[in-house]
Amino acid sequence: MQVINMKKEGQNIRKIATKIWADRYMYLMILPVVIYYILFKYWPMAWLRIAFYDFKILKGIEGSKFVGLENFKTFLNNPDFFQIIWNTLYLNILSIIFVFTAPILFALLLNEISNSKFKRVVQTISYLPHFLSTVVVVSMIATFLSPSIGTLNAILKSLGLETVHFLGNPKYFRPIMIISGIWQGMGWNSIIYLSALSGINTELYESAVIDGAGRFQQVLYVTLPGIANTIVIMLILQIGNLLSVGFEKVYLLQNAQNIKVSEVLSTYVYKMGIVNSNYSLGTAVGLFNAVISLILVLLANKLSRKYSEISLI
Amino acid sequence: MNKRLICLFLAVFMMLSLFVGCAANEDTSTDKATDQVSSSEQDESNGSNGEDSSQDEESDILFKETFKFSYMGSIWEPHPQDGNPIFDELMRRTNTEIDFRFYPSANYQDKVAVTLASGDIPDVIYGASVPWLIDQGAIIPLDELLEEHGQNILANLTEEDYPYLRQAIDGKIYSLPFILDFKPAYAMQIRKDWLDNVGIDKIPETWEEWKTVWRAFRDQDANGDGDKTNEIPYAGDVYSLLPAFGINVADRIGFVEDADGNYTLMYELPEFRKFLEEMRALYKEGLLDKEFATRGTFVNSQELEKVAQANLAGSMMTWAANTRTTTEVLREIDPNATLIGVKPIQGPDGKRGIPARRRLSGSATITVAAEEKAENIVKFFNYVFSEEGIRLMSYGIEGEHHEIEDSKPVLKAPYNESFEAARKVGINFTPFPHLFTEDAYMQLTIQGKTYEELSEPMQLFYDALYVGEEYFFTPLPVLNTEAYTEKQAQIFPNLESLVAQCVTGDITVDEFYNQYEKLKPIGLQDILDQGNEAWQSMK
Repeated sequence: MQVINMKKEGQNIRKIATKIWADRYMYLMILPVVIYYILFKYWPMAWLRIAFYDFKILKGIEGSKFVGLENFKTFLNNPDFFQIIWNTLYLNILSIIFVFTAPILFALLLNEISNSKFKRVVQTISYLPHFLSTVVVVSMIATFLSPSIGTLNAILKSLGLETVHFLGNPKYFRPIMIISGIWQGMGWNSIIYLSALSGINTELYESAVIDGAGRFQQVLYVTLPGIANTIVIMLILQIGNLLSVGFEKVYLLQNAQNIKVSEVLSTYVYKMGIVNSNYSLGTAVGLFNAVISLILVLLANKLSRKYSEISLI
Repeated sequence: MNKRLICLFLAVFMMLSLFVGCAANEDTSTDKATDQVSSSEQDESNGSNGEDSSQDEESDILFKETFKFSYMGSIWEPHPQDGNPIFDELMRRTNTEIDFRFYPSANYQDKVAVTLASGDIPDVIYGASVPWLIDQGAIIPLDELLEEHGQNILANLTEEDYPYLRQAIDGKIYSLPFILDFKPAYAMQIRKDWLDNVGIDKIPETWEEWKTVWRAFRDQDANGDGDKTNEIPYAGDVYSLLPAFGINVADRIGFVEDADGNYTLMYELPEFRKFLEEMRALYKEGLLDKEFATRGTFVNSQELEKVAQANLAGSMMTWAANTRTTTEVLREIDPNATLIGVKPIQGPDGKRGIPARRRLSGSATITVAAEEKAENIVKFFNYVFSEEGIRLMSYGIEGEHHEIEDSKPVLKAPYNESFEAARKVGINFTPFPHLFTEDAYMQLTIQGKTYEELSEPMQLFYDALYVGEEYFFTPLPVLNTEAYTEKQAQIFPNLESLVAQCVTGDITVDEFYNQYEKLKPIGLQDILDQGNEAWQSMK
């Protein structure tokens, strides 16, 4: 019996090997990506341990002093802890409401354009901001909004209104982040929805027309359900990022006047980890962030599976 | 078959591109190192070709056998990365081979961390945070070595330099500095043509006179562009006005000595309350820059230059060189535009001051990996700080970069025409410890001309350098105590935010102090206590 099992196992392995050999070029194509993920995503996870040490570079992890949860305690006892978490969450919730939905609406609008040349021009223009580096974007924002040399304030002045220091007033920080986020990402992020839209069976629209559906009803009852899966999956992934905000833009837009609302987890990690050179504390905050994010993704996934039967896993 | 070939090609290409990025830097540094070695080898072979003078020097040469060490530093334009004649000469004279590894200054600290983690530790690291290197156990103290082998280095240090050189954590010296012995750096500046436009003849000096001028700039379309609302009477950050209140600082952190000689923060001084009240009043009146939190000499000087060159700033306290550059830019559209340096503002209580340039900057540290070579490294830098070494680093090679006139070195053209031209050949190579003389600095500043031969904007710069001379002060060093290192990233952004909120009127002065006191139990008090303790022992 054991011999038969071993034979079967050997046959299975041979089968797999033959299959792999047959598709060897495909596997070869995948290999760099796999290596990339192992090297740069999974392998570094082993170093998350430094969150539990007073890590010294020259001593290595083994030579450094084990401090247990000390770094986590330092972070949680920080008097700004709740403010930082709140700032991060608030910015991300606003981002989900506005930045996440803008590409969907944009894709739906693009889908309704019948002139293909115009559609392509609009698409191309909308992609452009995505390719600008964050430093350039922030410098454009700062110049555009400056009360002394900015275009927006020049317009306000020409209308007889007072100039406003938008970047110096905390109440404008979040709108600036959101509006610039929409401008930067709306075109590029709509690609995925446009591709989902192209997959909707055109017969459904024909049937809807026969049933007397107008343009808006077609969008509501055919288009939206057609891309619902994509939207939900993107939303779940977005929820996983609730505690992460793109570091560069926030950091570059941050100043002494808006820091109360602009200090988020990523800027805090940067200041602790890099500016303060406290790698262990920086890693501890990063790990905390990752664990909470994982819990949020799993929760969103579960809820999605319960109510819409769509899920990542 | 074609498809397979394409697949194979793409896969190999992607694999290579994965690793090329990492390898590129290594290759460059190796190339650079090879270049350095080969150039020094070339020089050596040139030397051994038998010029009499070099044979004479042979007996005085610092090392009998070629001494080799590696040097990691950050570099920026226009310093040459791939060797320069002055370093070649320095290595030839001392019989040294230096493996230079220069990296861009952006993210340099990260590069140092990665280098340490890689295990390939250079013998000397320049420009990284010294307290951090000590904390990592990466560098060695130099006190004894300097005492024994670095007398030239010590001879060039003054008593006042030591607090800037010693580390607060143990009071020891860990680094070799770059010394620029030239105090003038900053100047209070005002638009002379704006003063003319608003009909004020006298250059303001007292607080009330300045306020009168600022109000006139605000109300009378001083820049003459037809828009009465765009003038910024005083441009830049509020910290630059602190010396007018007797608070002599030159940064946003603000360590000062109080009346009892205690090392403390400016917020602890009674003068600071007065400062806050005055700043609030100025801001309310529209005399301060609305963007004071995002531009200024101690916040973002490029942004300050930008607004000055946009013809919007009436006065500011910044680098003296700004008088020249701004005037030159503005004169392209307005030939009357003139930004002049003036005496520092006399505050409400008659106090005034202007920060002098710090003599010491930069820091070359010797790593634990070079413990055995440390003695020779100090001996090498001792030569750099010798009379010969100082002359070489400040004026270059005789005959090539300078001539001797009246037994004094005089830089030759084109090297005397600008700092850029001089730096391109390795003169005043700031990412390397040395002493750059006041005389060499002035020769470069006035471009080998007499004052009368200078262009008007250059004369403005020259004047601005010295106009506040009698009010120069040297700001206190920031002592990197344990508490400061641990808590600074949390405490000081909070303090800056409180100052900004108070100046704009979002919180009252009393609220400012309430919030300030709340920072004490979470680290501020430790920073104050440890700082003062370190200061008293270092003094």
